[in-house]
Amino acid sequence: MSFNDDVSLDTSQVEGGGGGRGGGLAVGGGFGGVIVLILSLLFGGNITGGDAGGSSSGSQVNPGRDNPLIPGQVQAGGAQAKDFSRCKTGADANRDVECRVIGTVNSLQSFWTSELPRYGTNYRKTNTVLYSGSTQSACGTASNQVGPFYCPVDKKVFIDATFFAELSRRFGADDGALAQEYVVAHEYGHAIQDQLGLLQRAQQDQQGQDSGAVRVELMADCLSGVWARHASQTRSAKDGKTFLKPLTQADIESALSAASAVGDDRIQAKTQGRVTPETWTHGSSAARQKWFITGYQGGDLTQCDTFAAASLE
Amino acid sequence: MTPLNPPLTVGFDLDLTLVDSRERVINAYIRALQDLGVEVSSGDLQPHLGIPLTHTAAIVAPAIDADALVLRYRHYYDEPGSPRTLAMPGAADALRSVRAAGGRTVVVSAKFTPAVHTALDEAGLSDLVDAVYGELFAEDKATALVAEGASIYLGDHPGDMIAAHTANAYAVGVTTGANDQAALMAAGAAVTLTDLQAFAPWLTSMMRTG
Repeated sequence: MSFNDDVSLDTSQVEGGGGGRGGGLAVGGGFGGVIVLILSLLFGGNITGGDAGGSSSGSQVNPGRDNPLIPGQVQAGGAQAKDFSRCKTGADANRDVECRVIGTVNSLQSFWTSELPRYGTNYRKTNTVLYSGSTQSACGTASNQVGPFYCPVDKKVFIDATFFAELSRRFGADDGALAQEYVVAHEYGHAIQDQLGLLQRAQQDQQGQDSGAVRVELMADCLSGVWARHASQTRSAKDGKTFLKPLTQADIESALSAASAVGDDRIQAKTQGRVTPETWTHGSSAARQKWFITGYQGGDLTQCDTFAAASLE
Repeated sequence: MTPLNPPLTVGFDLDLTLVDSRERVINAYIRALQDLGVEVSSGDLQPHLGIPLTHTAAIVAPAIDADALVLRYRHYYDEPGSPRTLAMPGAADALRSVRAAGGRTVVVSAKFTPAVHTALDEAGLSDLVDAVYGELFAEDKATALVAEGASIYLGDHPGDMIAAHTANAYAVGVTTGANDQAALMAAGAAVTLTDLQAFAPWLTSMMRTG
């Protein structure tokens, strides 16, 4: 979905991870297979849709000048931080994939800050590390071989901007901004689960069609839908303006095509030629679509209790 | 060169987490106490394993000369032919999985530091460990975890979970020692594993929450 052109973005919620192995995916001719593999690691599938806008790699500057870093996370020479100073408004988010991630993070944090207290929990601000190539996380080395993830150890979301750019180039048939926004919202769904003490359920029961892992992933899809429902009313704390325009039918279809494409059954059929539900970690295409829509239609996180659902599909 | 984000550093407790030296400890204990005129059985000692030697002595033989006990104990512990220390199932794979994820491995133990090295050597794990800290028990382990910037600490004792929290590390309990899941959760474990064979899949799953 599109950002309102004049809304201000807050780049302090995103950190530039840096110093990777020279950016760029280690890909040759078989990029399609690689991206499918990358996506299977991250989502259990490939995402269709994506962004026609492309991305800017951005110039690299020393941290501490205009790139806000969390105090205590001092960075020494050698590694480089990214500069997001070009991401000032919604118009920037509409044309630049990294600015779009920042705007989406802003919207998500603003939404959950007001939403979560209704359920007796204060939302704890969660930064995103927007890196290129590879960077360190407290869960291990983040790289574009891994794809976007939420690390419950340092409690940050890690997203590789190069990944989005390749996603757009390779799969960007239409505008499809909500497909990317869905990815970011899904990761923040994991942050919400962590704050509610639910994320461990995935760690205790890691695979299978009805496993804790699958239920946690589908819940994150649902939480992504809850945000999408309210996104056009979510306002920037900075200037009181709404971040996003109301969703169109095309937006919803873009998100659903992404949710469908990242189903375990779909990706397994593509990558291994057969479907093995006992190894699923994220759920089927049908289930992922269903739970995004459940969240979107209900707009209420209590409807995202995948652990209470008799049937996930 | 300090990276922008703290990298993965995983601290491991030693006894009943990475290695099993129960036979060796009990053997040395019984013989040391015998020298000082106290007869105990293996069953008397079992519930007190994993805490410092002198703490156990205060429970099973309060009147004993602690310094003399420590000397005798180390003598028997280091004696050639004393029972071998074994790696716990999955220990080597757990350490390797940290390295594979680009991380460092640190062992933090209440054991006498030279004995930590000996135990790791015997269990065949030395080459997989980047740093070793001995003679730190329970909460005190936090000092080593802070010094190493540990992001995760894994152990079998409630004190390990408290140390993890004190050091702002992610507390992972493993129920291969005397404490069950409930005890470790109550002490602050974010997650518990049944044994170290579950560690590598768990670590992988931490980055797969896409």
